[in-house]
Amino acid sequence: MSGDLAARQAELVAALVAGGPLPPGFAPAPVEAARRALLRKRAADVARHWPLLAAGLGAHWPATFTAWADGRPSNGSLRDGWDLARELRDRGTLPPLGAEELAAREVASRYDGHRPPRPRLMPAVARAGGAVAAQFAGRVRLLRPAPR
Amino acid sequence: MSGPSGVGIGWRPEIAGFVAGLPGLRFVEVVAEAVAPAGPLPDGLAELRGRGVDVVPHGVRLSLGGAEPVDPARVAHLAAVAAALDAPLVSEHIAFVRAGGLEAGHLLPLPRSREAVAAVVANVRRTQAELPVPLALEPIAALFDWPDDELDEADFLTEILDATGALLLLDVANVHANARNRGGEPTALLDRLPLERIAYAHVAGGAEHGGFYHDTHTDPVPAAVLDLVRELCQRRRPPALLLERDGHYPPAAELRAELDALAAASGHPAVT
Amino acid sequence: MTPSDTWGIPGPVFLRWYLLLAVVLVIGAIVYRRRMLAGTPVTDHGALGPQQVAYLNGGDQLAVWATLGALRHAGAVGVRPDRRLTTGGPLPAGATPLDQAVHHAASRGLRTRDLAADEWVRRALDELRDGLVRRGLALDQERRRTLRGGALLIGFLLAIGVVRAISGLLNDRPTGWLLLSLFPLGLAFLLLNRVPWRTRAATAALNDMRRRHAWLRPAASPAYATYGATDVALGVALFGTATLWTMDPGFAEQAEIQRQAMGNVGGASSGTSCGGGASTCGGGSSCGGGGGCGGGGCGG
Repeated sequence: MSGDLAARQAELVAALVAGGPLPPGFAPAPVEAARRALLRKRAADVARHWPLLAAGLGAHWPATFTAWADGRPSNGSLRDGWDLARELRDRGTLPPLGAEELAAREVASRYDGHRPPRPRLMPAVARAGGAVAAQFAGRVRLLRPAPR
Repeated sequence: MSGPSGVGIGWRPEIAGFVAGLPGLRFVEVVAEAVAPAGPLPDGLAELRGRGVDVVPHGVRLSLGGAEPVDPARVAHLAAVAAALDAPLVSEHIAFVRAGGLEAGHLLPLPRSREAVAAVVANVRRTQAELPVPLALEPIAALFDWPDDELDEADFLTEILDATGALLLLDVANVHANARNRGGEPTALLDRLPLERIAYAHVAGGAEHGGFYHDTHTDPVPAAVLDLVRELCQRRRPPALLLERDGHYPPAAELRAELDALAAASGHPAVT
Repeated sequence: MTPSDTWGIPGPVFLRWYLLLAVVLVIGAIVYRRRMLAGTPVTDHGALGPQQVAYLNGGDQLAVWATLGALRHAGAVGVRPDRRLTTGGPLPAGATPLDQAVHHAASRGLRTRDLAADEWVRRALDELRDGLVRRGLALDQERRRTLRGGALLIGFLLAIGVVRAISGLLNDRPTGWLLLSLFPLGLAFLLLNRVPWRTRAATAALNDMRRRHAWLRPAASPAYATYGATDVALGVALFGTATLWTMDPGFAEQAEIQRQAMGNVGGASSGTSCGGGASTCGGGSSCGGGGGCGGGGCGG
């Protein structure tokens, strides 16, 4: 019996965060409202961890994040913001503030996109969208701001 | 019982300076997952403890309502936080937050079924066995119901509380939200809940959005929620009530006014 | 044939007098410096305004940034697309002379980097410093010159020793002990040549205030809307311009506010652990997958 509950809980979570189908019997409108509320909440959480990225996108932040996060389960706000910033960088749409924040993060921690970021022990230089940051003994300095 | 008393506020690093400046404050709540019990306490919490302010760890990610057993590491963390804060009790939700390897990032409702009651009761017992202090359970606000509810909300909660001996953390804003979104009379639920088991109550703000009332914790407390606080206190006043605010923090004067309104509605002394 | 003594003074005799003089000078300079830098302890912390704290922590420039932070929070200044400042509203009540000067500079469309050189601002900063000198927290130019004078005497002695050692080497005389004594003397010269602009009492007051106002650390994402303009200024004063970047990144960027080391703004280093201190997750949100409350629809 508890296998049944487990499977149905998994179906519901998948429908809410991973683009899964609505499990049978649920009212579509309230579940959809919960799904949208969850995306808004994630956007606010990620903005707290990536304040410059969010500020750089300004009024476009909620829509940009929501479009990216829709159907993509969360790996935590830190990694979600990181993945989004990298994708925007690759698309060439990362705002300067976001580029500087990403460069500072890349230089402070090593993140392979799959496992949680780990602080770098060695000095490093990183660039993102034209911004260059350097890290020595855990202290991060922006060497060159992103072009504006 | 030496639980929390009076009007309190959810301690968050963002408003630590505001909370520290409340002269009459006797209890706060801290998100348990935000405290590292091995290290030093966050700035400000240690000072509050030094002043004799009770700090109640409030778990949000234990997933007591999950069909799988609770993660022992998360239970151990909650217990360690309770010990580090010398807390009078801890609280968690009657909800699940993950399933099938996915994090919902949200407190999700359970079906009000015997099977779900059994799952919650088993997890609560597992948790209670490791905790050094009593556990209070908080019913959540949800926008939707499961299709196969066997019990109503009051019976569902009462069965869980009776089977586990847990205390009740009643969120007045959630009662308002559920009645508003899922139908029913909020005072009718108050009439049927075991109010004598309430350790403390939550009060929070919310907003209408797309035809639903969202319990956002980032908006002002609506008058309807304060009215419901009065209704609750007329029936049986909880020993303590706590204001939850999690973002879009207003100017200090507004936050103080909300605390004062909560004190006035409940008859507890003002803390500002 | 034995080479004659350098300058006609035998090595051991010179060394004895040289070392004696060096010890007397260094000890004298240290004692004098300790007395000069002691300052007057701050007993009432409320008596120090944010601008004074900012000056003590980071001199003229930080005092200007702190002022700008408070004025921005109060909506009294803004920035135009061409990066020049502008006024956004009247001065808040209780404005200090520095507030007035910066507000006035903003009304004339100055850029932030030119603020500290503006004549009105300059005058307000001098006034600020003079007040701190009178209170025994900052050092005036005269006192700093006097302290440098002590270092200068030691430098002079150092120069004599170096010349003597070189001539000794050229004369093929033993110079080992003299050379050896030049190193500590050189070190003492370098250390004493650095004259701070604040007294030890001021440093102690700053450390104490940083501890008491730890909640203003930018890493805690302080709710500046709740705290108010004075606390914003104090945040800049104690924890630097990261406060401005945290409070209003758009303004900070447009107005070209100086960047601090970007550090771990926002808790980048927290990884999966949701540890306390700098990387706590406000409102029980998010570390490692979300949960708890925040944007819309919470139910906890």
